[in-house]
Amino acid sequence: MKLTENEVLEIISFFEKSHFGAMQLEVGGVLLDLRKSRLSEATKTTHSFEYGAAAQDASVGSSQVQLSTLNAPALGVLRLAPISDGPTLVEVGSEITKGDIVALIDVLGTMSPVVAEKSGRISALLCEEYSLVEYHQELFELETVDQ
Amino acid sequence: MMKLSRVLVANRGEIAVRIIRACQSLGVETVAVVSTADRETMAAQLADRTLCIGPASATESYLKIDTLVAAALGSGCDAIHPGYGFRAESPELADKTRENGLVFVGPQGETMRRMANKLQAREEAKELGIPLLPGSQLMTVGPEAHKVAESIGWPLLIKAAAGGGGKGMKLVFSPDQLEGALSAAGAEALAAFGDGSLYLERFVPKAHHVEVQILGDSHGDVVHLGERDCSVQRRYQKLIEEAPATVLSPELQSSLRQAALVIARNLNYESAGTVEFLVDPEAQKFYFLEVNARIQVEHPVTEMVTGIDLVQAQLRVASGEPLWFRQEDVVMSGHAVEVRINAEDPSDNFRPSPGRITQWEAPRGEGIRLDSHCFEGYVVPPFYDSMIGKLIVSGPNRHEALKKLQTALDAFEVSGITTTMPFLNSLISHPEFQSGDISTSWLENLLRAEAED
Repeated sequence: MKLTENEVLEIISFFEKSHFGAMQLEVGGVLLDLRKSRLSEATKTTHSFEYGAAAQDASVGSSQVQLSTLNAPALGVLRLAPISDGPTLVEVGSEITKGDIVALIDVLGTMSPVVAEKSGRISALLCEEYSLVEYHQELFELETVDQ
Repeated sequence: MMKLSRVLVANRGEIAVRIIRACQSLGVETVAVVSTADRETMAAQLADRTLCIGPASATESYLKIDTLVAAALGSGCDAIHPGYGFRAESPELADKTRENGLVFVGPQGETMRRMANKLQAREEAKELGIPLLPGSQLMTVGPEAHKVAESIGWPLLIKAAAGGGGKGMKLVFSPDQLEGALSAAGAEALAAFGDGSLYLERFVPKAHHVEVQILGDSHGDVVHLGERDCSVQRRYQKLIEEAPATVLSPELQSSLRQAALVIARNLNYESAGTVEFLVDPEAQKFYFLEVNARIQVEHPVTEMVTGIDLVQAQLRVASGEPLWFRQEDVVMSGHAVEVRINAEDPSDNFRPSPGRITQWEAPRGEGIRLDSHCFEGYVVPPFYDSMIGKLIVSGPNRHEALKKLQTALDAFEVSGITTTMPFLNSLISHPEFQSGDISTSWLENLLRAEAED
């Protein structure tokens, strides 16, 4: 059994309305790890990567920080800078805007752009530069703030 | 001495598993590439490393040449094995692999280019004195086509110059069908190969499809490993293959094998390949059809009668090893038969039947071999071809082999999906098949007759 995107959103919504502070649920290899933080009221959702950006849209209340990932559009070598040893397109802490090119995937010299699907702040680099990345591999962790 | 250390398996399904097992036997590591639909496959489980190369659609994954080469380079492979289908006969993949300093487990790109154009292949065979069916040069619709067709005689076959797998092939019985068939075949060929050029060839109604297995090294040495009879075909797709071809007299067998070697030597053929012929048993004549520059689906029957592992041999010659045996060392014994088992429903016009396999109990025994990537719980995806495995048996003679195959098919328990096994068993039991008195039209005629009943 696998959860659909809508089911994930529904679970998050139930959790949000509940009086529980944290919840873990594993269904068909998908782990939902939900927490309500008293300080930031952030709800963190992590999930197996088959879901890709499924939880990105899961919003809980207002002004909450969410974590999602930016994934590789193709198999190839991860390049953070358009020119070797040049400045990188982004680094941890960079604020990015939806549509920005944040990295490149080098497939025998042909570059596929990694395009930000939403605006936010890069909170972690999940792969090494110049390493081989798979199709849909998670490259960056992205913090987004929903109003 | 095996010089390869890590091979990228650029394919899926049973042949990916077959290549991984051959590598394991030689102590070579493997990297499997998979689409998102194939993450849970047997190849992914068996390989030392698995890389996801793209979404389910083959054009976005298994067919992407640059991605395959990048995956090999990035994962430290020193070779790519393309299997069959997908990019196996792509000179671009062969060339790009080699340009990037990797070994391509297959023939030279140049060989593929020469044989990919069936008209050029015919021309080369003709120059070597190999018999050809009466046929035409490039054909277009028009009055000229009728003139040429009359000179060849009816019925005739329209074939695609870039052809393969029966696409663009049309059987024409009379002049009034010619123009319509030419247009249809041209459109089909254009859609399939990006090249709509056609040629005509005489159709031999009672012919057998017989092909010779060849194996060449990179030092100019080439041997044949006998022949296979693959006459049971539906829509030009082989369903049952056997070795040796019992339809050949010893003289015809010898000439056929020699013709295959002449063609292979002329190509400086490297790796495993197949030279296909049409055999007219009544006239005791044979005609060159084409060269398949790859390992073929039906290679196991040759392995069963020669004891030579063809995929291991491919890897060894690709690494630069000279052939380790001579022609006279190739000893063939017994008879082997293979059936291709598909997830299809023969009672519903062979409609594909993908889905979860809830039961998979394969027959075992001496001389029974199953080449498959399936297991209980595996989901046959709807995105690729419907072959779920090949059952191969060998026995001291054809009669014994067929008997064993029937028993093995009866014992094979598969649930959850519809398979062609009962249909295959009915074909094997058919008196005409049992007697060997069949032709390449046999199955189509049988199905047509059944449909009319």
